[in-house]
Amino acid sequence: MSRKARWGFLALVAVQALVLVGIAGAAELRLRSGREVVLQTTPVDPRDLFRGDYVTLHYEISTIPAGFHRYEVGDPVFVRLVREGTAWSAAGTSPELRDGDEPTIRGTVIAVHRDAVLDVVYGIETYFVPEGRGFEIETADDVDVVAVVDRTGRAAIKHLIVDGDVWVP
Amino acid sequence: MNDRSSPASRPDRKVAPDVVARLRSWHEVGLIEAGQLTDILEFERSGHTPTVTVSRHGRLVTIIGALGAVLIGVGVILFVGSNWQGVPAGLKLAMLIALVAAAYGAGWALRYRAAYPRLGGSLMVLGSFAYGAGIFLVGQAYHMPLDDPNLMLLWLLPLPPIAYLTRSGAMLLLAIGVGYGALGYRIAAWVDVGQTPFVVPAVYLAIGAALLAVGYAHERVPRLEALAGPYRVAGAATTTAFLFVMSFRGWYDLGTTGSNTGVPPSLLAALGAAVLSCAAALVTATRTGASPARSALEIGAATVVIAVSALLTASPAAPSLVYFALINLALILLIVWLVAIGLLSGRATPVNVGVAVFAVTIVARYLEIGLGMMGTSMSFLVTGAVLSLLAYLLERGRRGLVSTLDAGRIEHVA
Repeated sequence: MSRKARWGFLALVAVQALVLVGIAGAAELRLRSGREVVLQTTPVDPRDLFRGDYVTLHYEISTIPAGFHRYEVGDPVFVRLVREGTAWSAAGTSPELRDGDEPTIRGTVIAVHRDAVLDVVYGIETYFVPEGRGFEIETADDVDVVAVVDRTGRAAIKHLIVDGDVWVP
Repeated sequence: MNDRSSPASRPDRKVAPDVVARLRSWHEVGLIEAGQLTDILEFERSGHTPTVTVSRHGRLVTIIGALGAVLIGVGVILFVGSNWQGVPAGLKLAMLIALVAAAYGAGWALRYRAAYPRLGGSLMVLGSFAYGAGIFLVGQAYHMPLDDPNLMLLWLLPLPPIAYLTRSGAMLLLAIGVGYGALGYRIAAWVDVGQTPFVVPAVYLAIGAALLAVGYAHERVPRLEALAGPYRVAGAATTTAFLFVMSFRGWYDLGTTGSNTGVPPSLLAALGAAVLSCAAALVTATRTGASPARSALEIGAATVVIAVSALLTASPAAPSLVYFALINLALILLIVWLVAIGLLSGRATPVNVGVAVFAVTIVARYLEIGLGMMGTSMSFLVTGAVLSLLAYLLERGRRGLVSTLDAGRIEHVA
């Protein structure tokens, strides 16, 4: 292997380390700088051989009215959130991010029903739990997710509130 | 002529029994003299022809090394699955980076410093597995959706440059596999696959064709010859597998061809890549003086697959029977191509694969069409008889083709 190729190989290994640091860094930054919202959910408890135990979270804002814009599957959608009691719910949708006081969460349309109702994912539908403990969340009466939303609308899960208490993994 | 005291009659531990038996028969029918027989056996005993042994040994090391790397890689991924929540995030990250660096470092040292190229290559593949597992573990620690296409894309990006730098076929195959996964997730994110079911096979067919063409282009460039095989294997496997799956009529009755309303950008990109690859293969073939017949055959196969892919997606209103007939025709052409390319290039593998795919296709068509027309007991009887006859005919045909190859080799050597 030539000297040039050796340096190229070293650079590629370094890039891989940087990618790992970058993914973790971006997620940490979002958690620290984003605005906190509480979202109501209905969890189920699947298990995947390669992913471990996790709960799939279906939010109240996962199915929302489309509004006036005509969306297609794969389109981004920005959902304005308003506070209702302790939780936040959808107040309107738009195809672009708009300025405002209320937090706006970015999602992707995965299904359109009769041009009027959208199924949307926000990238916060999976919560990984220690092996065997998904059952605690699945059987709870009330599960809320405390998430953070950054200025671009991207969301990340901070923690869960199960039956009124912060759930400790 | 039947000199039983000749060296061929003595038990021999170094020379393979089939070689001794063959030499004896040549001696018995007068093709070689006793002296020549002795000379040949002495020559064989002296270890002057170690090529086959070394090659088999090398292949065994490669297979064992690759299996070891894959097992460790799967172990790392399963470890990810056990979800180690108790470990702080920073420590997790440090452990992952250390694992990736150690695997690549050890792989590089073994491959280029200690002259253990195969073991070193396997460890480098392990490093790539560890990197992929690391991406998903970090994603899991932050509760990211692990089917996010961007995560697979991040895994894919460094793999092809490493494969080219180290000329590692195993790394290239891993890159192709990860690329297929990334593409699958991306398609699922871009289009409603339930509504446009032909997009997925069309895209993979086009990419398979592109890989085939890229493989044949690499074959003509001495520096890149080591990477030609993985491209060819991946391309041939992808195109035959998808054409085979698409060759069932039920697909078209269930599928909603009429709902294809446009060509998605992903397919356009795939078709563009396939066309460019074909052009590149053609240009390389012309510049390196390959025979026009062989070049046309290689490029023609890719073009057939591209045309079928385009038809699948861009012609929404054709009746299902048209699709069924055209895909089966394309599959037969691909099988003929495999056999022809094997005969032309002197390789038995494409011939064997072509015959095997043909056999499976015939059986599948028979089961699809024939079984519905008979009672259960009758269908078992007829199936057994047909399969036995088919197996006999195919094996006979396959042996004929392979012996043609062997004859061609002997003629070439002579």
